[in-house]
Amino acid sequence: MATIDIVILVGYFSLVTLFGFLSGRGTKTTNEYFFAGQRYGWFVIAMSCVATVVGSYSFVKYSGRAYKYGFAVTQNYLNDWMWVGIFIGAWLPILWMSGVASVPEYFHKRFGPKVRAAVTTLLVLYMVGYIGINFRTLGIVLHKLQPLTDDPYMSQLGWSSIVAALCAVYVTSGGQVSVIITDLFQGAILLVAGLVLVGIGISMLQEHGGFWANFGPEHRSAFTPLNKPPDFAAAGLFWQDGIANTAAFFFVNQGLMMRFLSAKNQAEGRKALVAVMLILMPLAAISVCGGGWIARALETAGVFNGAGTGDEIFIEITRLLTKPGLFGLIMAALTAALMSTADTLINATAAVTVNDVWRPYVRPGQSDAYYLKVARWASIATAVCGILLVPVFMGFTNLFDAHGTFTAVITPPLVVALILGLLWRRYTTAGALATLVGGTLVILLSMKFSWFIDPFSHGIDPSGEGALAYKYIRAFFGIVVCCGLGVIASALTKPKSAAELKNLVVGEIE
Amino acid sequence: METLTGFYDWLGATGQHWLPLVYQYAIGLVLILLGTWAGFKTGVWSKSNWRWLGVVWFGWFVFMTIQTTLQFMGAG
Repeated sequence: MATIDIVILVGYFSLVTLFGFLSGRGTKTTNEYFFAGQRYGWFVIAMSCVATVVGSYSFVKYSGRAYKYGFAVTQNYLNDWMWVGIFIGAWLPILWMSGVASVPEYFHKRFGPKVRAAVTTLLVLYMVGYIGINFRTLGIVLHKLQPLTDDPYMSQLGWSSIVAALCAVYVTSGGQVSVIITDLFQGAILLVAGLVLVGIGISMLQEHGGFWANFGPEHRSAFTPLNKPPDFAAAGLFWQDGIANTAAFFFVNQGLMMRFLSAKNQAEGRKALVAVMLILMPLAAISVCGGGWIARALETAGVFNGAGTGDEIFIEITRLLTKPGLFGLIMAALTAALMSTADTLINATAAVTVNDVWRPYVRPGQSDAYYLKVARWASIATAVCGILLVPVFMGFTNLFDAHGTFTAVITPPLVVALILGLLWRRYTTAGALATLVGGTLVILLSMKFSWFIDPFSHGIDPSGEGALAYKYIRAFFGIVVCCGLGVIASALTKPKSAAELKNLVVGEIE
Repeated sequence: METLTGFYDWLGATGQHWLPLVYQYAIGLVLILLGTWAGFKTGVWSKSNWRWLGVVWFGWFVFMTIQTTLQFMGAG
């Protein structure tokens, strides 16, 4: 990297850390630490959500896939809207009316302590794993830009550790206020940087007949074929990303739940969600995928050769299109995407640790100041756990595969249990336990015996053995199994009374 | 199992371009209808709030229009 780029990147890290640290100085209670005092309007919530939803892996993986599969990669973003009705019509009102502070607390009220314990375990695995994959991505990117040592392994781990430490500093200090304020700033940066890159690319392509002339029809489809290719078949992506992953992110992700509860009221939360999904996410899709589309068109025009670049296509095309200075700024946007996703999840994991483990089980009945102190230590511990997971994710050659495998195992039981819990009065505690525990076990077994998934495969080639087989369509198998177990167990057991379900399920809201 | 394999082979050979879109329309519609039903049950689409139901359906049509248009362009 040129000296000016290094200066911009270091300056950016320093600015965000300082900004986050200063903005959260007034945080004195756990309510402020986790919910920012519930004072923000829809715009702040929406803009900060963009930075949270777009992780650094988004630029890396979506640009790589956009280069290969064109517009078909947008299904990862354009499929989210399907969930808006259930979010606005069921989840938001239940969140506000039931007065819960965490996703496991909802499960406790709805099903009891055993289900809360199962959900807390899965949720912490989900969030810490997500933090790990974000740190891993940044390690790859920053090592590529500026190696810290000659040993790539240590260099990547070193970069991941530095960014984790910076995130931990401001999240530990200010909690949700710091997270929202830094994410607001970082959301704007990453949207603008990605769109500027696309603009420069389109401008360069004018000399070669324009973008459209160089972007063939084979890259313009909204979807890949239903069951081909094995690593990007439309059916696999639909179930893994559009259904399991999107629902997990908007319904089960403690970080997003806390963000929406940081709004002034339910109406502001509703406006924020619509703004995110209808306006900001399509812009984010262009921002994170645009590098890949431009790379493809430039290759057709004979200006660029992306063969063999894999997940590094975003960096390579940015290097080609920008001059020193702007390159540093766009790389800062990439790190912005990482920091803003990781800080949210660090804060959320601290909330689950305090509200679902420490307060009810370890040291109940302590002062709020005590729990605030625990929350700060939990933030530091979460960042450390995220770093410890980085070497695990280093075992995967393709980041998108690592992310897909991870979410396909964890998310179906959580999503099915929450959606059935929200919408179906007859869903019982035994049903929820069967979904969460039984579902997870069967999905784990399917990683050993991949033939379990054959009948659900839609004809997608397994393309590997054991855990590496059926990476995305495994989510469909997981959802069917989790639903089946939940429905059978519920049918065999007695449901709760209407009074016990007040404000916890659709149809019982006062 | 043989029948299922045969069906998947048929899927692979026909309808590869349009099936993902049909899939999207069908399951997306189920989720949007579930959300609509849930909103009536929770009272979110009340008299003062009815336009939010319109927003949910409008948004779905916007995204389906975008995806259908892209799929047509890909077919071209």
